[in-house]
Amino acid sequence: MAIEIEKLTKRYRKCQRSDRPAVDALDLNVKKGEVFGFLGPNGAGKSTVIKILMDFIRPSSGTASINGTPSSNPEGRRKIGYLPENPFFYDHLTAEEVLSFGGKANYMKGRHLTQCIDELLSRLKLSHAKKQRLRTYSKGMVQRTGLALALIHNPEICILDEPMSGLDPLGRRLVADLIMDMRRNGQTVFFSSHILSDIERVCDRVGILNRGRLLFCGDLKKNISANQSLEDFFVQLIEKDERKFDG
Amino acid sequence: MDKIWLLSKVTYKEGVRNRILLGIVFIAVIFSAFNLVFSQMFAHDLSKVSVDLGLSTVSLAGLAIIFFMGINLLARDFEKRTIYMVLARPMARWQYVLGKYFGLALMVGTAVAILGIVVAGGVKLSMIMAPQHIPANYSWKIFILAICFNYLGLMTLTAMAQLFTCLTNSSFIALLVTACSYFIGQNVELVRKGFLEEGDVNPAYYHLIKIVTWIFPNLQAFDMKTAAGYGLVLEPLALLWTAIYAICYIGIILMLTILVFQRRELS
Repeated sequence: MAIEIEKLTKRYRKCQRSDRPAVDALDLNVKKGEVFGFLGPNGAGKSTVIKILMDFIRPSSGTASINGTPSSNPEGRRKIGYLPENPFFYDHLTAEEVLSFGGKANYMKGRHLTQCIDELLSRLKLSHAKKQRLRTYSKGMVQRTGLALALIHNPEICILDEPMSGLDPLGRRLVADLIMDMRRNGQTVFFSSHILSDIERVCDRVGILNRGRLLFCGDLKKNISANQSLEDFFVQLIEKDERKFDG
Repeated sequence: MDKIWLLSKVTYKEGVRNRILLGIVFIAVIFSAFNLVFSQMFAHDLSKVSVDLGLSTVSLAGLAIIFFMGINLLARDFEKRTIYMVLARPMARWQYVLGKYFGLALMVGTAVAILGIVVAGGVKLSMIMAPQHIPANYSWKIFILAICFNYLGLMTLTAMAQLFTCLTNSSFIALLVTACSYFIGQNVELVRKGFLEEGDVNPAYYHLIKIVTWIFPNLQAFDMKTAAGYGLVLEPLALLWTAIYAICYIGIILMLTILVFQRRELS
């Protein structure tokens, strides 16, 4: 398994009074080489799960591991590429310097690294701005730089938090194509998104989260009828759960 | 070690390219020019005034860099989440703390070195203009030592600023607490001498002051303006102990920062 999550629960201190965990006993497995879409309304707990996988926050209980290594082990992140939601970088660095930092931190060196930086920047249509400081970049350019940073070391597993946010239709197409390429290369992609059409286009399986609980996990083609869209399926599922929750 | 150096370089680049740093250095250069004019207004100890003003300029500019840039650079990582870019790599949290600290140390060191050269130029010029006021034992070695110990004091404060930034979510609170620590650190020796050596002190006060002197660094120990101004002889052993004191204090504070940061949630 590329990603294994077992009985994962996360309670934030501010939520303790309401007694509702942000993530509630979540069990989830993502197989190697698959593109997994992580869906849910705002506040469902998607970003919390991703942050636990990256060890930015610690679970209250349960475990999360990537490639069999616990998420708390920094060396486990060697083969992971991560794109945060709304990425921010050091303003006074250039895209080339940021990617060089990312590559070197992942044990890349010399000419191979320079070549990878040039290729990736060209692929993400950022070559013209590679020597420009990031403070001069538009939102879409920053997002693409974030994606380049996530992919610079050719990771086995990509964890992307809202990779399409802030991108115009061309940028979204570019990201979708990149994800398809990763699938062809046998890389695992775990990404969260609100844009259901993109999920439908690129994902092998999806997980739908609401109030920190997994409502659905499986293959879209097998579970959605031909005349039903993912949006209908998603809305029905969430509404049903909300009704159950409200009593 | 490679990763610490890698992050230090990034932090250093981000710091030195910031216009605030240029602004602070520029103001300090103007202060040095002003020093030339101001010191000529004194009839006595002209060199002492010049050295005093020069070293104070370095010290003040160093403080401004830590308060307005260092804390900002550290806090931005949490506020803007730039820290994700670093910790998403196979980099342990202790490496992050040390990488950031050494990056800031390089940045402050570069600024102090530039200012030191500018200030030394100003002092030299004022000495050329009034050679009769140069103290008999004046030594440039002591002047350089004074700048080095000033830098050690600034590094102690930087370590404290990093700890406070890790403890709080707000750069403003970190700035406030660091500034308070600086003022306590500057006066702790004075208070200790005033109260504890007097003997007739309320026991509660006595213990409180003793605790404060143990917790806060004695930043006055790094101030060698008087020795540099008058060319007083400095005891090598005392200098060595002061340097060891700074290194130990910085080491303890960095360890505390790592402990705090290991537990911190970056949500």
